[in-house]
Amino acid sequence: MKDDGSHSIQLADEQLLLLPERALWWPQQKALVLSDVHFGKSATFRANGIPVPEGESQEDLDRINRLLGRYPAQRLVIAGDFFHSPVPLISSLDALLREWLAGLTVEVILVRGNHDPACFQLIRSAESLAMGDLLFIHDPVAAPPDQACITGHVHPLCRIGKAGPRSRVPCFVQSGVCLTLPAFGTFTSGSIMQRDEKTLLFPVVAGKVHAF
Amino acid sequence: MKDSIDPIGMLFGARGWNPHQFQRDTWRAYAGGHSGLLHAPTGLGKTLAVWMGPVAEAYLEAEEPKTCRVLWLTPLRALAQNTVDSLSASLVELGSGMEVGSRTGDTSSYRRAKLRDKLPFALVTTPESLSLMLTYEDSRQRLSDLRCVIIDEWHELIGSKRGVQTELCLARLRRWAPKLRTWGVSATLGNLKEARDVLLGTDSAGSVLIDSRQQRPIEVTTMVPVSVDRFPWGGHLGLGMIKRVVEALRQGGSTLVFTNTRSQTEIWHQALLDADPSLKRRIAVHHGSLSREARSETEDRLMNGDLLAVVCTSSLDLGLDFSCIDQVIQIGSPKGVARLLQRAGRSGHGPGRVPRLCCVPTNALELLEFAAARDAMEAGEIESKRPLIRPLDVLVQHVTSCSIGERIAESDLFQEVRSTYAFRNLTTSEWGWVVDFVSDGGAALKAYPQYCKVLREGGNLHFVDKRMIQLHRMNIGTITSDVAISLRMANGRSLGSVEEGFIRKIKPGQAFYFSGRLLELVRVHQLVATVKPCRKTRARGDIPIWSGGKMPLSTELSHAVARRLEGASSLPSRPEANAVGELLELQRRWSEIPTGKVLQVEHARSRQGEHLFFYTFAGRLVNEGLGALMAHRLSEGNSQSIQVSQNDYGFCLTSSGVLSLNEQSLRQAASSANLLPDLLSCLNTHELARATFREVARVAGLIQQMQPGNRRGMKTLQTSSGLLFEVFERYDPGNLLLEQARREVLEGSLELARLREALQSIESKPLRLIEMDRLSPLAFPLWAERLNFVISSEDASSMIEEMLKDLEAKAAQTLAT
Repeated sequence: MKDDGSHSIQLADEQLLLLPERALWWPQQKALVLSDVHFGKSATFRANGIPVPEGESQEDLDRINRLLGRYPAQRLVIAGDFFHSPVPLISSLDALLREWLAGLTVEVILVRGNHDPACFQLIRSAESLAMGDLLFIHDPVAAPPDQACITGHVHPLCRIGKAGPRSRVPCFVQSGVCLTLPAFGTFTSGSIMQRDEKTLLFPVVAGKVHAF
Repeated sequence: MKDSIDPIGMLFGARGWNPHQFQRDTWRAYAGGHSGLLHAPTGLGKTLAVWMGPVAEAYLEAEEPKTCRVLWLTPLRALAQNTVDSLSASLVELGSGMEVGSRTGDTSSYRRAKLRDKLPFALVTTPESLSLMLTYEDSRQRLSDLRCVIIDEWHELIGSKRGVQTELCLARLRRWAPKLRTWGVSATLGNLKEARDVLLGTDSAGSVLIDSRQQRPIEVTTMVPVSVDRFPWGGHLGLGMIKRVVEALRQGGSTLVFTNTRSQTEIWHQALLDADPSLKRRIAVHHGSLSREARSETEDRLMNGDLLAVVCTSSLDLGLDFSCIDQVIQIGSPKGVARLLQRAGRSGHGPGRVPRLCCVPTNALELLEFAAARDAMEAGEIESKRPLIRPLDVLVQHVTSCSIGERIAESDLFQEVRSTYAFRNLTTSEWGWVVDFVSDGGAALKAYPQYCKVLREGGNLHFVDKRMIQLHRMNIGTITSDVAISLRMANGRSLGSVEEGFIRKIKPGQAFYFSGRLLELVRVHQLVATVKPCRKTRARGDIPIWSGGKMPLSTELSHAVARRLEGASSLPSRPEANAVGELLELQRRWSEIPTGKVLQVEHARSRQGEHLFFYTFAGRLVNEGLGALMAHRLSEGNSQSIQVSQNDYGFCLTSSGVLSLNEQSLRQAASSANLLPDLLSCLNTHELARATFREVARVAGLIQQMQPGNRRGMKTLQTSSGLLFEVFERYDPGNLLLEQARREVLEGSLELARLREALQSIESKPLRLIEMDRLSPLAFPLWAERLNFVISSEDASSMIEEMLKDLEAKAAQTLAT
């Protein structure tokens, strides 16, 4: 573990840095990688008559901006589910997103997830993406067996310490040569992962990525 | 011509019955246009008391009414058909063509459509179904000729959100049907008058409370163990008396064996079979985690006389009238007086029979509890049920429901809501917040961009979006179903559910007991665990644990126990109380017997450090709060250094360092001043509120109840309540639902009112500090309780064994002198 709370791992022959902000820095490719933002989630609730306050959309974009400011990134790869719903965004969020994209100086690539709209003009998107020795694909189940992959989709959490709601923390999961990222979005929950012989968990606790 | 006809007289005459006085009183009050509450024990004809008033009224009309006149609300939908049958029977006997129907969650869509065409004379329904019915456009017109609404088992509803939901629906009905009278039926409660006022709201003027005052005598016996532990410890469960329980089953006829938790039913069921294999297929288990089919199968077999006994939890506290039951066995603490009465009353129905109750204590303290419960039963000291005040989540749901279909004026609805007991003090700003929250976000609009649910136009509310209405209707109700893993056989047959935490610990291939059967886990996939019968011989199974089984002793019962300990001469001699003589003798010789009149504090040392034992008789939850509060104050905020353990009688503070022993500092630590701020800073109220938010969010419609068949398309609306709680805290911290979750923690989980009373009572009592050489018999269970939290169970039981051996040796010496 490093001073900034990040944790370095090796996947295939690539050196990757797991960040406590629930994202990944790939120095070799100068790529910032994250997954499952679920942009516009609270708006989806409101559109269905469920009053959930707005706030997470702006906050998540700000968090991405801060990471882009910290690392010399040339590209931002999103491993799926940048959006929460394929239904078009409400106007205020649409404007927010356009403004954010216009201000970016990096290339953005979205590997489409099950929540993303099939075609979205503003962001370049693909079903999967090969980069260096790694393949980006949203759902780990769809990953080719012996190919080193970076995936999302499952929103992995793990239990730490004693029982209680706070004992569930987001984690990175390395299962063989497949790395699954935690959900980046503020308004996301997840499912508990179990550790076994071939699965390593990297929980994010109090601003640090731990290995266990 | 009809003037001379007396339908009630005809019915009773034909059955050869004589009406009870309370029945005559109820009929007279109803005929006089009054509403009211009837209190009568089961099995004496309370149904006919409330039913025959409106029947007679309609019967005497020139023409049989074509409209719906009576609504009958029951808390248990399983009871609906049973009720329809018994109500119909009297109409048939009178030769009336009037009909009774039912509408509950179980009613088929075909039947529901029929009911939409024409409502019967009387409709049996549940609070949830009624709420739903009120959202249909023509309901107002179809119910406008209603004369009477009857709320059965009101004691089951009052004090819960379902009760508040019922209050709100009643307020609605009263406006729709001006001639409406409201009649509640309740079992014994300590606050019957208040229960009536809650039922009637501002309509309670001129209403009556009819108390049958007829107590059915109950035959109570307690199984006193041959040898009683001098150091009571809950770890062993009274299974030592299993042979005698088997004997009681053989002698006593058809029996309900009540336990306090679902796990206990499984344990006792298995133990009974082990003790007497011939009971196989003659006894069964019944608890809330079994599938509905399994439960009704057991109920049917019990009714048919197929079963000798059913081991059950509160799932059979109320429900079908099992007229066949001869006796009730209560295993373990009675917990409350009303609860014990209710359970006992499940037996001995029918003329000339009496309820028979057999108490089986599982440790020495429970002997005292049974003695005390019998004292309180005889003295008529029964628990009250406090009504809930202003639960805004229920109001959010109700206001949304009310604006479906027709435009409703905000001011009228406000008035109507304020006519209920729960919301009689609702402020205009709270009301304004609720209206904002269900419409467009209102004052916090910035936080809710492009949200619009209920339309607000010129002081009117109107909910028109069809899709949102459908979603809302699916979520009406206040019952939160737990996230549970359902158990299925490979062929898909459902057995019931267990908690996720339990099944995750079981590995595939491992065996466990469920519903009295030994099962083997095949696999867990998503929310379904597939199992098969375990064929391995000699396999021992685990017993599932369901959380939330630790119910506190009621205040009334705690006080009765304290009086027992005082040994007041006015109390009758009881065998179970005499059986704890040695325990009390030791307590007296080594320390003193704590009573309700002093605050006794014992100071002792053990290998773990210093202990202070406080005897408050305040019930487990309050003792937990008191302990945390005192630990916090005594350690000046560094509460990690003091550990707390508690039971119903008192609590224990343990410190590896030195504990302050002067009276002044103990007094200060137990002061009722500054209670709330201190409590908030020492307990993790934030975590507790976050947990409580689950129910609040569900009732307010923030969390969608998953219903089979409706899963499609709902995935994007799934979230966890914990996450929602955080989102609200961050982006709309002024949201009143957060406030309510916090209030529910203080009032519900921590019993703030009882806690304050306990502190005030402590302040008024003299303090008796006793230096101990060893643990007293009453201190022992508190000491042992603590170990289970801090070390592994194997280590704990060996330490407990060691301590017991030591204490028993000392006790033998003491008692020999």
